[in-house]
Amino acid sequence: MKNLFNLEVLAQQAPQIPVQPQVGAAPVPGQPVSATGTGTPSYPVTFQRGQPVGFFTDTTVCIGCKACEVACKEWNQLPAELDPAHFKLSGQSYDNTLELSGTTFRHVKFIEQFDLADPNRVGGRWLMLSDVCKHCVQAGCLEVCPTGAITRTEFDTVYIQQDVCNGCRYCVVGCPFGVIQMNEEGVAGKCTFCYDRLQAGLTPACAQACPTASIQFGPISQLQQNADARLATLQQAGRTQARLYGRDDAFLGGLNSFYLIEDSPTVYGLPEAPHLPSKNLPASGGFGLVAAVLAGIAGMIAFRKRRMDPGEPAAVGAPASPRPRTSPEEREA
Amino acid sequence: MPPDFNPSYATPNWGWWIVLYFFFGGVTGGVYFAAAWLDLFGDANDRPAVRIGHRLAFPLILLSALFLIVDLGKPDRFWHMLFESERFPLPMIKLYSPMSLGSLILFFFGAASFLSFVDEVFARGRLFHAPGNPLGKIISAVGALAGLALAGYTGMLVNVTNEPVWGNSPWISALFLFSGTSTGVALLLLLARRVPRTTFEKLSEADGYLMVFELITLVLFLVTLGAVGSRFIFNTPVAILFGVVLIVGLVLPLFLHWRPTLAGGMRTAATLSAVLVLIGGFVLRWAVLASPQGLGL
Repeated sequence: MKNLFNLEVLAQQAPQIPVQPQVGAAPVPGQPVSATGTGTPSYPVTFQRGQPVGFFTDTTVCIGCKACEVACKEWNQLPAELDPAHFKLSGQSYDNTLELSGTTFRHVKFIEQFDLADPNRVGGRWLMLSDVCKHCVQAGCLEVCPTGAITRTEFDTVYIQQDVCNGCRYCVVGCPFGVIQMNEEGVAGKCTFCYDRLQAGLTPACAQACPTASIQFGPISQLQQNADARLATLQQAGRTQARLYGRDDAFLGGLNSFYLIEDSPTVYGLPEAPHLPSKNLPASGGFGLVAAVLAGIAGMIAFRKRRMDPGEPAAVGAPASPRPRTSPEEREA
Repeated sequence: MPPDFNPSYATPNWGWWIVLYFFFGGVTGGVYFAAAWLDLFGDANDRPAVRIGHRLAFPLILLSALFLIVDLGKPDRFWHMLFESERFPLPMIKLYSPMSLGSLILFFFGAASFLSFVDEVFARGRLFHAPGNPLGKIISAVGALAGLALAGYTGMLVNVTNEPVWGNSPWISALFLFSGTSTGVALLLLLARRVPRTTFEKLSEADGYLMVFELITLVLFLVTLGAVGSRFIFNTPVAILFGVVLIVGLVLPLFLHWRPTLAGGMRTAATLSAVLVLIGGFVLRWAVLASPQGLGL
């Protein structure tokens, strides 16, 4: 009994599990590294530092299993949503986190398109989308962050340095997708793109776990080819609603996590035309500058030197003799 | 919702600390701006008001900064906005980020107001701000420009976001600037009880101009919000707050400026008007921050 909680003894008694072989070669700076996994396509994914990598999420093959959510939580050691502000259950959907948060970096959206008036639910469908940080090529969060905590990595992903962030929350409103939230430690949290795994030549945990290859990981150029081919296949099959979201640089310079969707973006809770917060900067700064000039001129006019009558009292409130500038009372009189 | 509505916006939970920071930041910038402008463009009779402004600005900016720091998730890392934390003491400057720009403004404003405060408290204004000392004029000029920037940058900060209402109208920076300077002048009016009548009149006249500008920009702000921004204001209780700003914070004070005899004289009218302007300035910050976040923030 005395050894019940002795970890060393327990470790000796435990059955020996063979060490998992390293997936991919040990990374060497500047050299290509490869990554494979069940979630990635059957071919090995090869990428190297300095090469943009990303996710292509084909929502048409997502089955809503949430393996990506779980894998993300496990690998990144993220706690369950116990904070009452984030612990939400819709009560009418299989969606059980409802949104991304500072400790939920993956969230499978369930969009339920059913005609409730139809008892047979004919024509109804589920749309599922595994949502995540889009790792925008032009990232709003990175742009507004005042501490430099948000950086771009050598893989062209967007990363929040937890030890630099001071919790000002400007990135929360800078992100066009509402991705970033604060975690329980008071700093901003979002998908890291498994930066630690990338450095070791590994596939991000979510893509590794995805059983249907809905989440594909790889170099952006490769993913774009995959996406174009898949879109062509779907459209040839008559699924004309299919479209790519964020594949090209139509907005934000392109998304390093882009999607194939089968309805308008707003149906999936995505903005039609997301833009950088700095889009407002020239007009806002310009109007502010004009206002400053006007305030300055108003002050100069109001504060200009004016003659004071010799009989003028030093302080306000005392009886005064006639003044060179008439007071409002006198104007009234 | 209108087609340009962003369904995935998130709220930052900027609560009462930020409302207070925005309000006191505006007041502080306005107080120093008024004092410095009196120093630069006024006359010797305005010295008492200038000295009050110098005594007020630095403690007020410390208070404002305190509100800002308390609101951070990691208050002990507030200095990360001023210096690169990994390459200290290199300054942290991102001019295209209004919050970073604000840190720079706070630094310059803090420095100018500190020098004026030290001069006033320890040398009764005879060190830098003595008549004929060009250094005092330089400090006043830098502090006044930083004060104007301090009053207005918070509006730009909320505008440079993807948030409904905040990001919908670029007039918000001008609105905050006029409101901030107006509240600063109003505070100086309230505290300047022993200043010559001419100074009092000057401050009152300036506040009148600023209120007219603020009224115009408030209207411009509301009419340029677009479908999304309008919906967030006019379909919610926040509309009441904007009504308070309009009536209590602008129309009534302007009316008192126009008809001071109704309040029993110019001094009473200006004092009452200043109180209303300060209330309006506070409610304006609350209304703007509450628009996408809710009245309880």
